[in-house]
Amino acid sequence: MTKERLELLSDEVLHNLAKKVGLKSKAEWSRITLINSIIDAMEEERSETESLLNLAISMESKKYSVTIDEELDFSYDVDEEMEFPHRYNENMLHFMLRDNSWGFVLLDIKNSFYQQYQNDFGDIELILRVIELEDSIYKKDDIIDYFDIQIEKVEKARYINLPNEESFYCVELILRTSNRDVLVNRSQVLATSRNHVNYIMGDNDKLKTIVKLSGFSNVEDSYVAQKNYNRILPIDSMEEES
Amino acid sequence: MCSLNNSQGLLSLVLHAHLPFVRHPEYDKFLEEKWLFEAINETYLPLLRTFRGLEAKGVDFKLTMSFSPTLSEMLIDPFLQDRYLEHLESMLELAEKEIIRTRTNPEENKMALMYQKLFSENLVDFKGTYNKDITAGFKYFFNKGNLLLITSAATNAFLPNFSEYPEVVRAQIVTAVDSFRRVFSERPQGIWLPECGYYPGLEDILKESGLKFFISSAHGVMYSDTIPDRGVFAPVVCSNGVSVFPREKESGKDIWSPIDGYPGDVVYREFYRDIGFDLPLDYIRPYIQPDDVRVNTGFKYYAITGTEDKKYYNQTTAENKISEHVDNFIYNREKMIKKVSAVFSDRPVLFTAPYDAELFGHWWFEGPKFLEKLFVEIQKSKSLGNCTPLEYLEAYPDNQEINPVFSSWGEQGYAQVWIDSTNDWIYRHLFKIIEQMIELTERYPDATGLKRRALDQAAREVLLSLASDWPLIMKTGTTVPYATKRVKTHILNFHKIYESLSENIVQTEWLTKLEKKNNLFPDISYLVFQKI
Repeated sequence: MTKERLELLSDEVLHNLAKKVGLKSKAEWSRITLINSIIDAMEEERSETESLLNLAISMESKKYSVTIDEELDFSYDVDEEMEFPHRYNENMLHFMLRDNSWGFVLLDIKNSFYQQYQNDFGDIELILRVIELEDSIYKKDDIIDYFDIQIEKVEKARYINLPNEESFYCVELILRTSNRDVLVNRSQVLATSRNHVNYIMGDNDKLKTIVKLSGFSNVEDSYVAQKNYNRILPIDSMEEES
Repeated sequence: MCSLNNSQGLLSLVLHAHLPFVRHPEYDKFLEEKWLFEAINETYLPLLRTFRGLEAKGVDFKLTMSFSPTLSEMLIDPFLQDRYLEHLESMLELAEKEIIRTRTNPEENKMALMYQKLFSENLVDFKGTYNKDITAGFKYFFNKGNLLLITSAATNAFLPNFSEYPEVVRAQIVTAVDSFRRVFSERPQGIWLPECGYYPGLEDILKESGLKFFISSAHGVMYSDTIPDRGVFAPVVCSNGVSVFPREKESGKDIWSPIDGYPGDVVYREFYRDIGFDLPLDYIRPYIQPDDVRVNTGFKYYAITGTEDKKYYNQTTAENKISEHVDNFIYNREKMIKKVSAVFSDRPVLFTAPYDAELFGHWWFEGPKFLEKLFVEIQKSKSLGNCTPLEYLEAYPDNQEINPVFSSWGEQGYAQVWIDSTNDWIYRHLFKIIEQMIELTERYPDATGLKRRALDQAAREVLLSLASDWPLIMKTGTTVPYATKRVKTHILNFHKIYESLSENIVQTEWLTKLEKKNNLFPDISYLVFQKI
């Protein structure tokens, strides 16, 4: 979007654009000031976005930039009739890995299902239980630890921090009544990976050299640096550490 | 010239060519179709000329190229071929006007003439040499053994996000392999995983389709339980026999780095200054969007230089710089060979260097020339050779067994780009249609006639909705309304088919229209989504 194109737009459209780029336009601003401020804000926004991206992704996004800022191209605005349902009114739970320490959960509970328990038990709570497992297949005996997150019925998605790298996790959607927990759904089991080279005591010098030449920090340094990063240690092991 | 066995180092360049499926016959001119036209103009045809130039010089180059199925389906589509031709003719017309307009400015005029030459050569190649199907050009070098062509997932889905549904991952892979066979008349032996997205277990689905190797991010291999003895300088192998080629970081950085990467050199052509934005509307109007939205035309007259005082591009200076950068690239690899040889010397040091194909030419205008010069110099090198992953595996079939880990080459190395607050809303709807698609294969295990057509189209719509390009665009902020509309349209198309089938009424006219519009994968069978 060039200055020239902005100059062709009406005042009303310019003020809307200003809002869109996060600018609080003032009534006393002249048209020129408004246009210049929009251009500056867009430039700032663009450089912020670009700095967030890694090189490959940045390159890829260039393929899609035939105009300078398509945000302002209104010709493909989504039709109103294309509004999607907020939910599908079903019992569902999906668990995806965002990275090695964060998961993304999508959930829903069917109205009639929820209603039935509410009628029978009065106050009920919805719980997301994050379970850490020994293995990639869920077995009760393989549960290492778990924690519960109380959620609102309206909540349909959540990012969850997974405390440990190199572990297995699944999530359960639980309906808690006054006297029991009802399992609504259990997700797939996902493995969190380590975010560093796997240092093993006694690794030889050659291995350390090749790790460094491969573009990764010295194994010992990286182990120390990463050890407690994003980690929530269980209370008992914290005692051991001290 | 070094061979696979007597060289100290081997460069395995991999160019990944991809564009999402953008085909809009319902519009006279469609902005996003320009992604394809620009890539053909500035990357694919110049690359083919580079290959022909190398052939003429007797250089036995080795290069791997992956073509995403959405891209190769567009390249063989007669409608898009004709549209490209119209675009090219319009660019030639603009070149002529530019030659006249710039006649009093010798520097601009020189550039206008350069673009006229580029587009004229493109016209001759596209119409004459390749009869509008440029895949024939790549196939020629594939058959000749210079180029190893590999596939990618059908619609570039970021596969780790769909690990819950192996049916989807298999549908992406099987459809890709089938499409590759139809376009290139051979089975692909390797795959470019979209965005290098890997999750443990994916190799089983790859193996089912006969795929022998994939390219991985460096940390996908380096963060595994066992540290690879040869680091990223040799492939590793999964327990099921599928090989993994980790990306070598330094060779990547030489070209990718926005700070000191070669394409950022001040003498190279500036990507961001284009006459589509610089010249008066009345003049440029016929070559931009019908509603006066200014777009890149491909006519760029400046060198990168500074932000304030842009200098005109000088082709000769740029070409000299290419030689310098090629020398530096080879020097850096040779330096690394020496260092790595201290760790292992039983085989050559391998540099797996993947790049987006469109980097060469489209963004880095001099990229194809860099490649040409690079292969010429490698031919002369006494220590550095070049090979494809498949050739490497033939020469060195025994590789260390390692279990790679969840990884990608995206920002921060995992799925952060494709699961983000800007795009995470899509997954609820995608998972819904995936489940319904799987359900349809159970409900109709042997559909025929109109029902079969509807089911096959449903499968196409699901695949198209899964493209990782849409969440990527939502995250990066370019053409967001278009990406949003595309996801929604494919999901709604699917729902319409699903409901029609449930009511046992399929609207033939609507279906036919949709089949004609989203016409990729003509041989697809909806049963590709069958439950595993």
